[in-house]
Parts: sequence; C-alpha cells; structure tokens
Amino acid sequence: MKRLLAAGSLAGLAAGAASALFAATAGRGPIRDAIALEDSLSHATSGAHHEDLFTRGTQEIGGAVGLIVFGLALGVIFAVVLGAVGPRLAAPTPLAASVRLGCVGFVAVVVVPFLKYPANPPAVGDPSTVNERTMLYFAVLALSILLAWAVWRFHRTARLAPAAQTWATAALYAAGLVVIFLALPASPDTVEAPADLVWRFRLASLGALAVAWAVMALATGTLLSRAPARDSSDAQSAV
Amino acid sequence: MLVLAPGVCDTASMETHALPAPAAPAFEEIDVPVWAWALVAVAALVSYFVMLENGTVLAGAAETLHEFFHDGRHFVGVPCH
Repeated sequence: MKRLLAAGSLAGLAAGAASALFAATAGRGPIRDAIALEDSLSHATSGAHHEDLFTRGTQEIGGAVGLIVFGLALGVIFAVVLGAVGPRLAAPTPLAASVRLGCVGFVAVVVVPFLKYPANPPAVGDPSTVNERTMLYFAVLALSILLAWAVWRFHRTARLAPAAQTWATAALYAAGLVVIFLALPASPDTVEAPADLVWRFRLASLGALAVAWAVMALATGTLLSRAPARDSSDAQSAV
Repeated sequence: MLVLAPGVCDTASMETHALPAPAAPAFEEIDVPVWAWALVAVAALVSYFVMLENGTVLAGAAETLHEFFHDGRHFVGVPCH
C-alpha cells in the first residue's frame, strides 16, 4: 500500500506540473482575454475599477500551485482506488490496470461533468449563482461516478452471453447518461462572452485535465511495473 | 481472471496480443487499510479547499484562497464567479 501511495503521489505531482505547464501555455491567452473583457464590462457598468486582491502574475503562479496541489490530491485518491479495484480490472499488468482506471476515471470525473456543465473562463460566471452552480457541479460529478461504478458492478456480476453482456453494459451506461443529462437542470448562467473566447478556454481546460489524467495513469502504472523494492512494513504485498 | 471487458480503453486486451508473456505480474490483491481511505478523505478535502471553496466553510480566508488559486479553479472546470 505504501509503495502504491508513493507511486500515486509522485505521479500526481508530475501530472499537476504537466497540466500547469499546459495551462500556462495553451490557457494563458484565453484567461488574459477573458479578464480584459471582464474589466471592460465592469468599467462600462459601474464605472469603477474593483481592487484586485492579487496581481495577474501572482494569480498565474497560484493557478500553477493549485493545479500541482490538485494533482497530488488526485494522485493519492487514484492510487487508493487503484489498490481497491486494480485486481478486479482484468488487466494483465499493473500499467494496463492503471491506464484502464485512468480512462474510466477521466470519462467519469472529467468528460461527463464537462459535457453537462463545461468549464468557463473568468468573465462568464454570475457571482449570485455560484453556490447553485457548485451544487449542480457536485451533483453531476457524484452521479457520474456512481453510474460508472454501478455499470462496472453490473458488468462484473451479470451472467449473460459475452456479446449480450457487452451490449447490455454499454446500453446501461448510455441510458444512465441520458437520465443524468435530463434530470439535472441547465446551468443557470447565460454566457454572454464571445463563443470563440469561451471555447478557446474550454478546450485549454479540457486539455490541461487530459494531460493531467494521462500523465497520472501512465506514471502510476509505470512506477508500479518496476521491480518491487522490498518493503518490510508491507511484507505480504508487493504492490 | 475475468472475461476481458471490451470497453472504451481496451489497452489490456491489446497488450495481451502484443505481449505473449507479460514482463510484470498482474495486479496483486492487496488490503487497502482504513488509513488509506482516511487519506482519500483528506485529499478530497484539500481539493475542496483549493478548488471549490467559495465561502461556505471558511468565511474570511476563503476569498484569499479563492483569488490565489483562481486560474487553477477555472482550468479544473469548477464553477466560479
């Protein structure tokens, strides 16, 4: 377990750093443009410039620190979940198990919430709805993870012919997604920023998260695939 | 060993064709101790403070945290003002 956690933490830090690098290059432009737009809008409405708590440079560093801390936390969670489900992933190697869990996790934790409530650059969110939007985001995240888990359970326990089982699993997942997408309300905010700017940012955000998950899953699996070091406190398990 | 699940990311079945004898052993069964799950809770809490705190839990320091990590929050895609 300790070896697994060490691998996950290291992989998470690397994933956070890689996504911060991606965000700093691909995401810097859209964020700057969005903040410029936000400033011009607030000038037009209130006439006064609100005092910023941090300078842009500090926020860019804070954003990178945030992504690295987030990567570390994600790496730890990923490692523990991998330890719990890894043996049941029907994967021939630890690397394959890690990549499988990474793929499922990326779809369940990132892609499905993104499709329902896509990321937005600064200047888009309405401050008065932030709590409602946070609740909705939590709801779609929780339902998406629950659905992935339930469908995986179904696939493992259902006793159907192999082809039927595959189709039934896929159909169940698709049906679950439809229910989630219909049951949750649309985002309460109207997006007034230019679609081009919004989508440049959304793609940068999705890219940063894809980089993070890919690095995390590959690095965790690779670290686990190396010859196990003798760990006296972890005698009965090599992983 | 279970039946290979043909899924979105079926790397495992591809690798079984590519590598007749896997170099590394399959994922071993390990006990996940309670403290590991406690660590997961801590990690989730850290993510919450970094990414989602809008003032619900921390009243005063929230804005400082929020503004410092602001760019990161937007990239992770969590709701923001």
